[in-house]
Amino acid sequence: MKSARPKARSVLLDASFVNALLATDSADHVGAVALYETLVDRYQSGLDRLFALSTVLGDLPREFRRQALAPVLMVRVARQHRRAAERVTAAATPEIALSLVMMRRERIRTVATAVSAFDELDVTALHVPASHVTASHTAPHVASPDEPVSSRTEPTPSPQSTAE
Amino acid sequence: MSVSESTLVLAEPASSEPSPRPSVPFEPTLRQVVPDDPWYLIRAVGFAVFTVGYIAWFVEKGLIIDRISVGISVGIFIVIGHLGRPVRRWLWLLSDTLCYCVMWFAYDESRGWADRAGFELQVYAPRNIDRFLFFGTDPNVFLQKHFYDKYHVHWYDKIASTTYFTHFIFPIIAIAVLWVTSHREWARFMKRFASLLLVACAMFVILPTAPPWMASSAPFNAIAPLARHTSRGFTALGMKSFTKSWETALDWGNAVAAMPSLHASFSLFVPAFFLPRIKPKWLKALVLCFPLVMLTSLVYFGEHWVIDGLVGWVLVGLSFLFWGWQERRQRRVHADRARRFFSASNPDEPMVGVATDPTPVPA
Repeated sequence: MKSARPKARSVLLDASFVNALLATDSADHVGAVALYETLVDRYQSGLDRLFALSTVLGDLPREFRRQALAPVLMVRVARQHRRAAERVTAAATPEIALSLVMMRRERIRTVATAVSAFDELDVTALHVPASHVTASHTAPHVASPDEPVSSRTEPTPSPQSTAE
Repeated sequence: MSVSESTLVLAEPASSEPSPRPSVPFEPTLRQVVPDDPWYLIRAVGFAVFTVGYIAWFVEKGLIIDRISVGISVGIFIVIGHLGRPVRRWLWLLSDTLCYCVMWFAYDESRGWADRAGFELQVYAPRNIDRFLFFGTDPNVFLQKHFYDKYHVHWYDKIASTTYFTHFIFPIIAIAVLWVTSHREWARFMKRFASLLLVACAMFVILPTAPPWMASSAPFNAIAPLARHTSRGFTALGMKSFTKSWETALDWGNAVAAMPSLHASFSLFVPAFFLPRIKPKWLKALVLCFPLVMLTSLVYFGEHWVIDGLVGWVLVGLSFLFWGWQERRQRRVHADRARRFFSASNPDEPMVGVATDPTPVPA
């Protein structure tokens, strides 16, 4: 008999992450794309479910929403959530506060982010790996076998445990 | 404590006190930084009141069985689960309820009409198939001959009868709980469930099948006489069923809707849906015994042929296979769309030819 399938992990893509995906001139763009590709692979395998707030998705270009963010489900933000966000402690910005409220309400424990605001909470934060490669038209650097791995480039994080 | 204090540091101890413990990082939980949903407690109390009321009704009047009464009880449960939710959730609920009611109405109407559609009644074919499967024996007759006691209700009668009646609550409980806790999982469940009902209704129309208890009596006399004792064990436990005649003039009865057995189907459907979430293998095996007990009970009571149950199980399997394939396909389409976007937006990588994707983006 097959062993239990791991429960699909729910991952919230916060505003900073989505902005990094969208803005090709952002320093975090390449890293965000790399992390997103990992998440999309996991999504296709049924290991991850991807979400983003309606406040984040609402203003995005239509093509970007339908193509790049096709795997991402919308989490609707209502007035009651905004009211709750006003009372959140430990949030650097209203957007972070709203993310925290929706994470609690929707039982989402993992967030993909380009900021460190979630580090001090007991949630799993998937950070955009730092990259020294700019988002300009530059071919990605391929290390030769003898070249040491650059310490300035964090590897794409491995899939987190799906146990929740 | 403010969240910025991410590390607890103990005060320096006096010399007589034991050495200090190393500092440990303190990570506030979401529960600590995000205010509680004020309606959570109200919903919890509502569910508790509903549960007490349901049990009291069950003890006093019996297990709710008829479609409309079940719908009302489910409706109350769902409304409690949506108290305090945003308006949009209520609009979804309205839309889902409409689909839910249409599904059951279509099912019951087609089931009621199926025995008048004019297709040939199957009596001897299911009997012959069962005889083939059991080397010439009629399983219904065999079980009743060896286990049915007209004058005494045995323990297995009670188990079989109770198992039979779980058909009227287990799927409904699963639907109601999923509806309240996870709309996404509810949708997955309902797609599979509605497909099963759709195929079952088609089969009721095309293959009207006399159940064994009917086939054993005149004018068919296809097998030895059978006793129809389904509720005997249930009654012996002091329980009863509640059925209200709503006098709707709706003809939902169909005595020849034996093939496939939805009793057998539902008994496999609910465990199969939740099986991936069950970790211990022994528990998985135990859960999968339930459909076996159900089918054995159905055959023992003369309610269904064995082949009715087997076909019911096959339909469950096909429904799960189809929707599992469809969901995997949808994920692949979405994932490919995302990958194509970023590979196309990177001028250093060759453009990937994009075929026209006819699959509409789901809402």
